[in-house]
Amino acid sequence: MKAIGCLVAFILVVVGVGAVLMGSYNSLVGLGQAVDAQWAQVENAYQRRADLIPNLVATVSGSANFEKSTLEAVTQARASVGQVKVDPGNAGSLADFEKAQSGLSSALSRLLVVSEQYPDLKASAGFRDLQVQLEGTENRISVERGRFNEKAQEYNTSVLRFPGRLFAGLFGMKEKPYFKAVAGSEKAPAVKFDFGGAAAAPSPAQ
Amino acid sequence: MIRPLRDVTRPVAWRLGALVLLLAASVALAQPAPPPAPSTFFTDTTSQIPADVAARLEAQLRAFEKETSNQILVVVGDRVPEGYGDIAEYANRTAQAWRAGVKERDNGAILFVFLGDRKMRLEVGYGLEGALPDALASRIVNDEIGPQFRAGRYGEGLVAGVDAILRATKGEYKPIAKKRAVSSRRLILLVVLFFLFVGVVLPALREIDAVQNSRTYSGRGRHRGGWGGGWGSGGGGGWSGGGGSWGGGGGFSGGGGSFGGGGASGSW
Repeated sequence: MKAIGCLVAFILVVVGVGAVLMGSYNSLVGLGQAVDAQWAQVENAYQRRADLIPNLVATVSGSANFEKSTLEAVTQARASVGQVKVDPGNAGSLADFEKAQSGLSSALSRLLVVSEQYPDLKASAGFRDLQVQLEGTENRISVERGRFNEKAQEYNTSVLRFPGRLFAGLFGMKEKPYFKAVAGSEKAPAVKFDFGGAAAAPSPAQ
Repeated sequence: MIRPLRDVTRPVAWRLGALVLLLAASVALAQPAPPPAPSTFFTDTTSQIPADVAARLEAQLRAFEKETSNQILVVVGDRVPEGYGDIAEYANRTAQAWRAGVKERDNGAILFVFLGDRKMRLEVGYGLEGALPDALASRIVNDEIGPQFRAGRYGEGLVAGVDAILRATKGEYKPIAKKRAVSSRRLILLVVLFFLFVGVVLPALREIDAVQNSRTYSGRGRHRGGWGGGWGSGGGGGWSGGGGSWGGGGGFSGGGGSFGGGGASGSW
């Protein structure tokens, strides 16, 4: 009698723990998928910007003796962006991606500044539209980056919180890195907190 | 794998510190909540827009939603609320919270105007980005509305802007109400056919049966007819109810549209 009772209790506990584990695992998988889907949106937004560049270069170089070096810088930055292979789950890879993309951002903004000196270019409808489109893609990029950080935060929270924390490591689920706030902008703070390994040795302020 | 083990050895103070940090971080991440969604298509909190213009825009936008299912909102305020990087960020977050547009079409657009800041933004939902690309949105904001606003003619500016937005997005989607009407007509046809079957074909079959077997199935037959009738009318009622709740009310109620940062900003 007693032995059977113990056995039943044991089975109940095993089943209960199994159910908790499974639920927790499934929700982690779902959250991880949401991060990946959002990453695809981020890449879309960046791709949209990259696709604008040939058009922009064609329009600008049509303008009489436009400064060659500025144009070349944009073309080069565009090419180097295309070469970066990125794994959004890897902080180093994400940083490389960001570096390439911000290189393109600064080349583009330099081009826009230089274009101020070409009144005929500024007055053309084609260039005006391109400028608006560029602004629009920059805005989309910041929206999608923000949403990526939100999704990554949701995922990271459940990797770090109690039931997930116990076995996220078992299944090779690691925290996902965040996009850092764009330097010099007062955008939404993309808080980067390295718990786990790095918490014991706080990284120097960046 | 290693992390849980290291956790055990880590002093409790660390964990407390981590907890405090986490709380602080989540507070820092939390942005001001967007304002509650309006229940009208045109909202003016500054009362600087003439009443006749406000009434006209409200009626126009409401009719447009009935006609095309596109949900276009106009919101006039004084200043961009604190805590957002810029008007684009505020507009996107607010639009995403209000969810203008029908769920699978994302066909919403919101014109935010801040008179005190002399700034505006037309935020365009995913589904209208084709009809209202950024370049066109920018032309509406900077060429249609801007000059009027610069001259202090707020009412005229809004009317011109809304007209341009409606013109651009008119052909993009078919109304939903009409689709419903077609399918409910089909349902009525089905119900009629069903009654025809129950009322004419079944008795005829029963008649043949009765002649052949000279036995009465009448009780069973009548029962089956009654059951069919109840089912048919129940189904029909449910459909018309669905249509009513969608078109009814007359004001704006968030439909489930999504915004990805499309549109254009301007100032005057």
